Amino acid sequence: MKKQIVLTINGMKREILVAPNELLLNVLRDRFGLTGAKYGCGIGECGSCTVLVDREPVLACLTLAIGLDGSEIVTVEGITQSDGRLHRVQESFLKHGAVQCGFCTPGMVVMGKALLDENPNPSEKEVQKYIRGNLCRCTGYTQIVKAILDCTQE
Amino acid sequence: MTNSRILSQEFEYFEPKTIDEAVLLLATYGEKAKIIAGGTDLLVQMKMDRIHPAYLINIARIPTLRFLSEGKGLRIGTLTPFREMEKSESIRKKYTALHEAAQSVSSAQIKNMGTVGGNLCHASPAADSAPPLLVLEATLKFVRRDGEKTVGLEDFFLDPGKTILSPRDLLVEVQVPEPPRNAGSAFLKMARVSADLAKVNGAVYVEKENGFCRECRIALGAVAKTPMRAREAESILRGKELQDDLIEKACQKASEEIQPITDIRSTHGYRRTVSRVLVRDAIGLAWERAGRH
Amino acid sequence: MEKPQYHAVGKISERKDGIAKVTGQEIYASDVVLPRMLYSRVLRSPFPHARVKSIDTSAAEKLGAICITFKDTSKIKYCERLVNIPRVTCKDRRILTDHPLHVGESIAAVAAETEALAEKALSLICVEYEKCPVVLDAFESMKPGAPVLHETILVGDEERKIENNIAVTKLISEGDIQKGFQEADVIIEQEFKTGRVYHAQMETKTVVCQPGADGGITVWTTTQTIHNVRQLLGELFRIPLSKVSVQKVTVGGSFGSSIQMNTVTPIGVALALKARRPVKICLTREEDMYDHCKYPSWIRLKLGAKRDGTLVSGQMKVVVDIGAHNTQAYSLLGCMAGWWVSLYRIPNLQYEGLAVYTNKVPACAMQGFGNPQVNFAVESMMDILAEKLEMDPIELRLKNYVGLGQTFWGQGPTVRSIIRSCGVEEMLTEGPKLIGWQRRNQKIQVKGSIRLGIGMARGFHTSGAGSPMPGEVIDYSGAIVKINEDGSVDFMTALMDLGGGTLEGLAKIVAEELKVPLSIVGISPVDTRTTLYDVCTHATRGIYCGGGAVHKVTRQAKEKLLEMASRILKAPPPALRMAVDEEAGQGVIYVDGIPEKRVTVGEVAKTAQINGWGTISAADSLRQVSCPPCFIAHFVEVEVNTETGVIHPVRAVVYADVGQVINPDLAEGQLYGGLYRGLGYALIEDTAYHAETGELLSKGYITDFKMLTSDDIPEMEKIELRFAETYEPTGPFGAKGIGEAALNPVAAAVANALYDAIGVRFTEIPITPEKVLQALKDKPRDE
Repeated sequence: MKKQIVLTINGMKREILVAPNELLLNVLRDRFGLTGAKYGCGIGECGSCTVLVDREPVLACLTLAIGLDGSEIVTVEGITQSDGRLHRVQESFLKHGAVQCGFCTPGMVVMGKALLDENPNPSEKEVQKYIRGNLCRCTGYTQIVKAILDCTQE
Repeated sequence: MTNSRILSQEFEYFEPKTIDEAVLLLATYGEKAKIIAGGTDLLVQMKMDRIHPAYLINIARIPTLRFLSEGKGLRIGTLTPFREMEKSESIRKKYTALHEAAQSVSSAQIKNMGTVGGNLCHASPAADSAPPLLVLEATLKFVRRDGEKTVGLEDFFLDPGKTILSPRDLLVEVQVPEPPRNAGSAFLKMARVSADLAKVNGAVYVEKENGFCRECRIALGAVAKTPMRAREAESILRGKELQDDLIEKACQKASEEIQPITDIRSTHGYRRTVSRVLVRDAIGLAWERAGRH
Repeated sequence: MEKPQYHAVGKISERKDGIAKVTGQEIYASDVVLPRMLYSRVLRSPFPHARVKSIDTSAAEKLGAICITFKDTSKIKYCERLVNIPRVTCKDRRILTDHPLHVGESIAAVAAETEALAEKALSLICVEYEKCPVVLDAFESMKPGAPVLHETILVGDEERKIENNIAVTKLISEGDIQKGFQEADVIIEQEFKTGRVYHAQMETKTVVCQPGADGGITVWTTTQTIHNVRQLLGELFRIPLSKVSVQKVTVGGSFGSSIQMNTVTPIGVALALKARRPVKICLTREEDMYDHCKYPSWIRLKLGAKRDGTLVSGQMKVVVDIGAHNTQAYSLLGCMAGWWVSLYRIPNLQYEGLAVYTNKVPACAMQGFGNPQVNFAVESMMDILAEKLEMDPIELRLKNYVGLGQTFWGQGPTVRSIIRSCGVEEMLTEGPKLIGWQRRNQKIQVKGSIRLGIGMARGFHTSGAGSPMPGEVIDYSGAIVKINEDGSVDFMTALMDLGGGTLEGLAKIVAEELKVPLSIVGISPVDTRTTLYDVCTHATRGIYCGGGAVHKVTRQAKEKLLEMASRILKAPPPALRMAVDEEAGQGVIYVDGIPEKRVTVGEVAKTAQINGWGTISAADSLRQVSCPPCFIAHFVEVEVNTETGVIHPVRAVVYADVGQVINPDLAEGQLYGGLYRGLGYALIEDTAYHAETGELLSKGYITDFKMLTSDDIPEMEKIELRFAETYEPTGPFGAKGIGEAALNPVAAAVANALYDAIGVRFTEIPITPEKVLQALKDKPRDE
């Protein structure tokens, strides 16, 4: 039985009809064209699908959209400021060579922002641990960790 | 071959707002229903085509199931996510093994989504929350339509994926008795990489009195069909002075009490060898912490 | 030589695709969505070896799905990789098959309005299989009486019979190894094995195909070569290439897995043509792990040396289990010989290579293309030899390495050239100081049961596959550049950027040659219709070959630009100078010695437009006649827990020789990335099979294909990167490549470090804690 739910996605209220088995990842990508969050593994092991739900980073590939009525969702597209300027995490990624093929980047950016919102001054070890559920095959992680750490100076 | 891109299974979905609503649904749909909270285990099982519930009962929006309260002991609502347990200062200080287990859960995202109730009910032998809760001698309260029941965690697990809960039961609370001031605990985990299921995990709880080990509890996971207490090993140390050779004897005994298997993560020989080391190291940490706060 | 002052080359810049990537706007093939697009799923064999006796898609079609089976698709055998010349190209693939040779091989496919519907339709296809005997081990597969996978294959246009499941053999001999071993004072021999790794590129293989009204097709796919995909599709579907448009679309990592056209691509095209609607296939991760993997290897190596350390003789035998299909084994075996003999001078050598079919996932190139495998064996042996000779391992390497002025085999025996730039001396002198090489050999106990060890290994990779004479490998690139009427520049190349910043590097080459600000050099979106042929972005050829082509056409365009400028400035081209004016945001051309007599590039282009002089542009191809090695050395420090076998890499020094560094931060990214993948290769990555069902034990889930996480690698302060000061005269602005070199020697460095730590020589990777503990148990007590 489909259900009518209201999601606030990147600040905009959207009302949609969803079937129980629709995953948040596919709703975001297919219904709203928000293709930043990616399918990397489908079983919660790679973090490519990470988005913020009610300000917490979760895996959209393992989230039923039908259970999120009334929730606030922020994707990487919503982390960019509304006037198009980059969030400091995004800028830092560009500054530190932390972007290669870019497939893991949206998930990493979401995690970077989430970490800094929770803990404005993480140590290197804390950053390393915080993003360990996000797989990157290209960079070897060092520059990503550097990029997130560079945001803590402010 | 499975398709992890979508959830192709179709099912009826319920979102009860209260515990009563939830248990009524469970009574009605019983065998054909599954409870979903964080979904990190359940949805993976469904995507892998291992289970096929006709009904999903989402309890994630029942506010009375999510709480973390401390009075005489700890009361943890079934919906409490690992992240909350990890952040709790009092869990870190007094129930340290549980804090460390929460910390060890694979990723920050899973910690936000995954609940202690889900972890226990999924009943993987490698469940990270099990060894600490076993040595802390936690009890579980579950309800069904005709009442409620409390059971010790040591009686909870039956087999991989199987607990004493019937399809009509809803786990609501984990109760952890308050340890005395002279207690200390520790949790350790061996895994292939930092974000992973355990090859072996384990927890130790001790009480220190006048240099003696007044109480000793040892639990191990991923080395038998359920998480287990190594009772013979415990009895070697209980009431004694913790000399190195005695500890070694106890660890050796613990490694004999387990029944590890060879699977894709590790071998039974490795698990047996390493569980000795893990128990020894956990004893050392727990002892050091005993009575510190 | 005095270092020239560059404004773009060697400078850190914000990569041009960076903003799109960090804001989630970058489109990958898996993000492409078209109106009326159908979603497709592929029916795959559940058995490792079978024949399809019957197939019935009627129930699926009743559901509204479009279906194709092996009956509908071309019976032509093809090779999905077009890098070798046709004469030596081995073809044993079909688009869909009734004779699956591995679990997961494609038999049929459906397309439907939604993915869920496609899934349902797939489940309704009825297939009757006849199981065939299975072989999962390469050595078993070569024995007489083993199950036959391919009776015959096509090599070029000729049919070749396959004997004993041996897909390819390679035999190379130089000098006289008998004599060589007789002359040797010391002989050592050892067997090595490397794992069957999965690429685990983050984006799973994808195709979107849009059929055109004119019978043509437009394709977006995960590829390292849009032109080779175009040619294969044109051939398979009999469509003229002018009607086959393969779009360049960003790919989420590749590491060699898309050098060949992916198996999904022709399936998607076949469905789209039948449906007369766009079709998308995006592999699930579990399918992707059944789609391709890295070549594993078994290597037996024998080396003979004189007492003073001079290598005199070498014999290598290689057996590679290539799985069910031959993607590029012919090339691989030749390359592996080349990787071996280009490391150290060995006057007498023999190489025997065998590539064997088994009922497993087909192997294909993964970074290094046999180099990580060979390097593991050779660099481990160098340490073994050094110990036997009581020589320092670095001293032994310095004595024997193939270096400046010497001949090396680029990518096998048909590709030989002379080394013109070499940083090996520098890295083997400075690197040891940085890691603290003197701390070796001391059985350092960090604490309790933890031992510390230091080890090193050196390696290289070729920058492409260029050679003085064209050989069996096609290696050239084409490029187009044009100057716009406002002085900004467009350049078009089919070269892919797989993430490493290759196109950023090319933009810098253009900016530097034309002396225009990097910010106004645009990387044009392109497809196969708007670009000249580029063979493939592989073999670490992006900057050296692709960049070389871009450099060539930029110089040609520059000639035209100067000629037109001379008309305006009334001074001949040799009297003109160029400079970048960052404030004006333009390139400037002025008369030598008279800076006020100047004109901006934009003014020239605008004048050209007004006067009808034409667009300032050039289009051309370049085949590099060399493939200069980019050298590297890894110095690694590990901590080993002797009670649990757990290995922690705690420090690394990575010293690379890439010639002129074009993108400093992205070049560092290659070193960090190569180190991380190399550590994974050494310590944990592998895929294993169920002996009876032929299934992957992991079932394709990455839950059980583990890779190192951000929390498993050394802290940033503990990884030191250095670039040697060299200049490659044949490369654009002195540059060579880096990508694959950054991975090749890591595993041997780790194995050598482990030997230093615990005195155990591991000859098989991955080296897991289980293996470490077992080895420590088996080790004879000697201390």
